This record gives sequence, structure tokens and C-alpha cells, in this order.
Amino acid sequence: MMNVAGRVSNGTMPDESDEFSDVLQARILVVDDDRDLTELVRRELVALGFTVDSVEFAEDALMAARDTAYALMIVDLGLPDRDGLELVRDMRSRMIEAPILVLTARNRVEDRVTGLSNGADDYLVKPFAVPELRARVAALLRRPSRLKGNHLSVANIVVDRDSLEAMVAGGSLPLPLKQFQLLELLVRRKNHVTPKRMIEEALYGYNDEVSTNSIEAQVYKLRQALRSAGAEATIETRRGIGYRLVELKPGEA
Amino acid sequence: MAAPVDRALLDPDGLFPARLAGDRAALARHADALGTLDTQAQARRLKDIATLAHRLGGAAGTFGYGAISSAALALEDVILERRPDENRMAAQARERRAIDALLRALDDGLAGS
Repeated sequence: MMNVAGRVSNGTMPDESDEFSDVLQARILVVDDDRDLTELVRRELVALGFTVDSVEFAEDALMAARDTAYALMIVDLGLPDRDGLELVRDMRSRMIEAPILVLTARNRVEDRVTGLSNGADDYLVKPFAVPELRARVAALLRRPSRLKGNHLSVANIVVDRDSLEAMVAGGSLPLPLKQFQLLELLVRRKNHVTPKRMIEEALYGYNDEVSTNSIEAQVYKLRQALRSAGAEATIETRRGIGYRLVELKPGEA
Repeated sequence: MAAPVDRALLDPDGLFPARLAGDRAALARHADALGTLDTQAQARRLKDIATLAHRLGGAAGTFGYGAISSAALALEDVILERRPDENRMAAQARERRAIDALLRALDDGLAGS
């Protein structure tokens, strides 16, 4: 079961969010079956401006991570259906590259080493102090994009999430924010069809009004921009399902 | 020394004491049942107690109940560190003491919440 927790309304941001200002609107996945702790973590992160999804089972976490471009995942090692370390390993083997903060119940060196060597980026020992949680989240989100998997490419298209810059064939491709977010999503999910609903969730807040053809319009404009810039990939429409970024064959560009 | 934790900030809806009360009731039930079980069933029950203590240790400390967290993690250690070759009565007495210590810590924590 996935609980999509809520987004801070536009405008008022708490003071503590200053150090997170460059990653606001980022989405974080919390994987823990302790509902009290999950609620505490969710509340803290939402107050800092993040959108938080939470799941209790490893299988749900895998599905969520495959479908959503998370900025960070917080994974407890003691999950009911699978060992959390297995989940981390599985995510890495599926090229899910978002930073992972592992929650461990004991401060044993071997647990920490095993977690880090299986693909986690950092760990936090339970019980933890909330300021330490905030600090570790901030540190992971500050990492250079090459370490966070935020420097993405398909064919001759490159997307850098940190600088919010897109490039085609080495040249800058200036895009409005929504089109940049759309391109990033499609690049992250290259060769996979991205459902329209997922695009809506990524581009618009829950309170935004989205007209019936908003997504089609954004896709149309982005497709034109890519074509004009000489991109060697295009956005394919799967009618009734969604969109997919596919590399063009030689001669198609 | 760690800064004092404001439980009201960590648990604005005041829901965590209900979890502590639920865990206390479950622990007491497990403890009462221990004496009536055969060796295999007892081992399974101790595993359940260790799981409860493990989760409680992590959550209670984070919510500002340090004494409960320490007692819970100590109980988990006592259960996990039992050796197959050690005197069964001595091990059971040690486990019982650790369970009682956690029950007392829960009572104190609930009284102060």
C-alpha cells in the first residue's frame, strides 16, 4: 500500500527549509513498517517542503522506485517481507540510482559496512535525533549530481537536475520548467512508457488545475524543441497509455 | 550530553503513548505465556519478544523516551545473546529480569506522558 503524503502549499516556507531550497518539490520515498516513525519522518520532511511517499513493504518500494524519480529514499533494514539490504541491492541492480539513507536499529559496525557496501549512501541509527535526520538528508541531497544519478542522458540529450539544464549535442537547450521536468522524467524512464497520470503528478501539484490537454501541449512543445535542436531521440505517443522517449535510428533525425 | 527532546513537537497529536500502552500489553501477555510453553514454543515466543523490543527500542528513543528505548534494546540483547549451552534456568531468569525492567520503564514512561 502506498500513501502519498501531501505537499506543502505554495508560498509559505518554514525557516528551516533554507538549506533545502535548491531541492524543494523533490520527492522522497520512506520505506518502513513502523507507522509511528514513518509519520514522524514524513511530517519533518513535508515541513521542509518535500513531497513524501511511504510504503511498508519492499515489493511496494521497488514498484514505487521504478515508477517515480525520487530525490532520496529512506529505507529501514527490518522490513516485513524482505531484508532491507536485499531491497537496496535489488534497487541498485535495476539501475535505480537515487541516494539511499538506510535506517539501522543497531550501531553495529558490520551492519553499517554491509549497508554501505550493498549500495546505500549513508545510514542513520535508530533511535535517532530528528536534527540528525535533517542533516543527513541535507547532506545526501547536496551531493554532486554525478553521485546522485542526476546527470542523465539518452542519445545526444543530457539532463542535469542540479543546474536544471538540458543539452542536445553539446549545446544548451533552454526549456521552460515544465518542459524540463517532462524531459527529465522521460529521460529517467528511457525506453519505458510513462503513463500520463505519472507525468501529471510529476509536473503539477495536487492543488494545481490541470486542463485535459495540458500534458499533450507540453509534450508537443518539447517534441518540437528536441527536433529543432537536432536531438537523436524523440517522444513517441502510445495512444491511451502515455509517452516514451526513444532513440532515433541512423538517418531518422 | 544530548539536548532534551520536546515530545510534544515529535508527537503533536499525542498518539505515541497509545503505541507504548499497546506494546506494554503485548509484552505482558508474552511474558505471562512464557512459563506455560514447551521449549520450542518458548523459543518462538522469545523471538516475538525480541522483535517487539527491537522495534520499540528504535521508536521510543526517537520519540524522546530514552529509558524505554534502553530497556527495550537491553532486552533484545539478552534474548539474542542466549547461548545454546548455557544453563536454561539462568538464561530464563535473566530474560525475566530484562522483561520486568522494560515493563517498569514503560509504566514510568506512560505515567510521565
